[in-house]
Amino acid sequence: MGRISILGELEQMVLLAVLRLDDAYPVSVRNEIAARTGVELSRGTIYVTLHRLEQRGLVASELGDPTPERGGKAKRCFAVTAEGRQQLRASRAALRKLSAGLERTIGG
Amino acid sequence: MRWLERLVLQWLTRVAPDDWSDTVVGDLREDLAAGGQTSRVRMLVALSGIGMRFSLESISASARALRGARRQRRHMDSRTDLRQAAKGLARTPGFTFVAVLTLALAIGANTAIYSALSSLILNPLPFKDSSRFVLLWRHNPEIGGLMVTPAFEVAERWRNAPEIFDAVEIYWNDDRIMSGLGEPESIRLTMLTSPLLDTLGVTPAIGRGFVDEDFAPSAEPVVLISHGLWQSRFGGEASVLGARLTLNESLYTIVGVMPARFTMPLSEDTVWGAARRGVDKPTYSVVALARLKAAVSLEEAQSVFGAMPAAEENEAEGWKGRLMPVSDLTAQGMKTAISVLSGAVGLLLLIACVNVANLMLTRHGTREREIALRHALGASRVRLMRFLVIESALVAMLGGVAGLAVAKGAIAAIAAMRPRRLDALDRLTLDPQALVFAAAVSIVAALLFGVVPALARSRARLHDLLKSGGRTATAHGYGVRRILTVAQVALALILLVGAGLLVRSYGRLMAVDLGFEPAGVLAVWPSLNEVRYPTKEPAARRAFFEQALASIATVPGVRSVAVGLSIPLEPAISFGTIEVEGRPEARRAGIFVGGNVTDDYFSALSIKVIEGRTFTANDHGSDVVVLGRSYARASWPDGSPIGRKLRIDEGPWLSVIGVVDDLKYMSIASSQAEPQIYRPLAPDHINGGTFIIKTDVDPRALIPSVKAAIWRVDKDMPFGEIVTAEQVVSRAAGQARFNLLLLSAFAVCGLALAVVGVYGVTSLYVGQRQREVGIRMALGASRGSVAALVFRQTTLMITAALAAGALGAWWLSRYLESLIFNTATTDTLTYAIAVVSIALATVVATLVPVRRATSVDPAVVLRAD
Repeated sequence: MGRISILGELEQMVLLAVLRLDDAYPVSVRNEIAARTGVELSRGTIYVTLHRLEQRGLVASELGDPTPERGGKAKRCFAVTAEGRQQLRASRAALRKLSAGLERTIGG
Repeated sequence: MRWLERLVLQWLTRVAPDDWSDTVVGDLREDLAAGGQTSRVRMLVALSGIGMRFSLESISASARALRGARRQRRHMDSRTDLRQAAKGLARTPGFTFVAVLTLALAIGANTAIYSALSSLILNPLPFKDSSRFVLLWRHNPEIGGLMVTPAFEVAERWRNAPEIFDAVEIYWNDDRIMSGLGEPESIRLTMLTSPLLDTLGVTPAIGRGFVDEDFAPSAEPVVLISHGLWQSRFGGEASVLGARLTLNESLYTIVGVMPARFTMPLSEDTVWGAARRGVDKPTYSVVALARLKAAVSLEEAQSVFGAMPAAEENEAEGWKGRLMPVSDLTAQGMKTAISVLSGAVGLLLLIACVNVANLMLTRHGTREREIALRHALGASRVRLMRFLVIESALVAMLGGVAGLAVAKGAIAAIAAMRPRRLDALDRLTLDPQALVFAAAVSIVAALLFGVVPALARSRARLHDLLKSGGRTATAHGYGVRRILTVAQVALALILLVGAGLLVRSYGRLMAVDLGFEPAGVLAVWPSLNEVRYPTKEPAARRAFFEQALASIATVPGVRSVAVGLSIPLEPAISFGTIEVEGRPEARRAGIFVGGNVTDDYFSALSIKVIEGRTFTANDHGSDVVVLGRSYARASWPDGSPIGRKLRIDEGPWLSVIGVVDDLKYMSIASSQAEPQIYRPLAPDHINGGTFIIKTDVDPRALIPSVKAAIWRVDKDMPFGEIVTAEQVVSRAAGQARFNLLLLSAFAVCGLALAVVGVYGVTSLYVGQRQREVGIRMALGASRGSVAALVFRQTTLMITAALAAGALGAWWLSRYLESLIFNTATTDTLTYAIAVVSIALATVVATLVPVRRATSVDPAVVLRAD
């Protein structure tokens, strides 16, 4: 996808959470978002969003080691790709440009 | 519950991406355990939720994919259709050429005529809201409805009518000699009395307009110059601002340049000056230009203005105010012509639409089987429709582009051959609205007739068509096409009759006895400037004319030279009250023509003497007069006018010494002769006038030596105009020629299109009957009888068309009545010629397909089954 599109808010949240975590997999991503923002996303939403991001090449995943508490099931670990970082930057820049000078109007 | 769990897991495996389901289960286990919720029910609910999200996701993803794919396919279809349509048109260059040409002619001619219409009627002058400007005249119904421009004092009084006018502007013209910039030139200076240009909404191209201070009595004299003068005398350079202009040997400072082609109404001016109050005064009358208030209609304004005093000092009652919209000035006498021309061009558009429809029907007719076949093979109706629309639109687009080119050419032609009175056509530009309208009409016709019938038939007759082997494929369109062709030929006949009437009328106009012989006559208007040749002390003027007459007479090739007030058809009119001795009832007030002329005037113009004699040197200064024939007869119906007396404006009684032939003074077509009254003029008493020079050679060849002869008398003398009398006559016929040329052009186009139509419909008929013709010929029918079969069909059609067309022409030609001269609108010869031309043209159009039909080899046709 040559063209830069603005990422959705959900996508940005998930990407940022993946970036923050050393060990990013659906459970930790969901917990991270909930801990930092107080927003409780449904599990399904996390999966679907991660899946979309992966299809668009913004995150990559690999299977991690199975652990006993997971009933011997492997874990899918995510990392943000270079493309993902680039899109994230573009989207945040767009929002920043739009909100520049509006600090007093919208607060913050 | 186990089975339920297994089922949900299976479902999840299906809807989740590749091998995600395992990790999802692992995640859930970990997550739920961490939260202390290990119940199977919680697990199941969570799994189902995730599965639901995945399946929703996959549904919307496939919907997105489907939408994308469909859009792409449709796009590709359109491009394929476009390519195919273009290829198809290229394969049938004949059809494409004729269709595009037809559209181009119709669109081009209509655009040009309606552009002319809008520039003449809707926007005749380069002013803002020019339709709200009116000229204020003095009008006297008692003197033949004479309309004259007012004196300054009268116009000043008219300024007090704020209830109908926003503004009344007064200006006047002066001819001045411009010197100091190469060859001296006579130019027309308009003196404005207010910063009028603001009212008109005109801003100078460069520099400034006038401001109030420019009109102060002590102001420095300033002028604006025309764009043309700026280009020709100042090289179009900005340094013109602040430069000095010498007019009649006084200096004026140039403060601005007006936009190209700007002139004031009734003026034909090139320099505009600010009249300083109390200093610059008009010599004669002034022009009063008013802008109507927005809420006031012309009729309301007319009734108020008509009641205002319009008499000048010492003048009898009877003078009234009269308004004239400025648009009347440019379109005067042209309104009928314009509506006839736009009607005619509308007919042309109609013929063209019929032609395009016909062509489209033929095209789809011959392809009906192809269309039906495509339909049968699964092409949807929408797809077929799209293909046909694309094809028609492609033709229409090509026609539109070519039409634009035709319109541009036609507009240039119209502007070039515009008659003198229609100078507004000089500003003629293409009116985009007209183009859009003409293009839209033709394109709708193309689509309507091109697409709809083809589709309707493709459905209804699919079965028959496929079964019949295409033989009857076109039979259905034939009836419609015959009707269309009849309409087309009828319309063409109407145009042809109209053009024919104008041709006859023009021929008669040119054959009119003008009363004088224009061949070998040159007319020269010298421009005497007021400084060197003051009107009040005429000695210098008289000396100039006397010497110039003598000087011109010595030019080799000059037979005789005279001076008259003017030359016929470029009349200078006089105005006064004429009384006839002993017949008080013959008193009349109004205009008369003729004026003071030198002795050779009658011989120079070869004017026939009816009775008595013309002037000789003995008559100079005596009270004698020569009259035109009609006026002499009207004044003394009972006997010879020689020796009788009349007087003008209570002057001395003048005795009639001769009667000459009536001249066409005001216009070639005028039937009523104004009183023609000539007075003798001694060569040493000429205060002004026109040199009339009779030559033995081509008068144009003498122009340089005549100029040189005058310059020998005054080396700085500029010329108002130098023309041959033949040019004057040609100018006077300009309007009639203009109408004639345009209508003839339309008629020729109409005829050509009708011929194409007849050719098309006959070819179609022949094509359909090919098999029948083959059988007939195989059975021994002669070529002649086959040709007769085809001709019978055509003859029927053409006869119907000619009858309808003649009827239409008879009905419509009454609108031509005021445009034609000495010709009845029912002129039999014209109708006969038009009918025969159409009949001949259509026979020729039939011949080609007939030849094709009769040269058919029966064996080939029969084998085709």
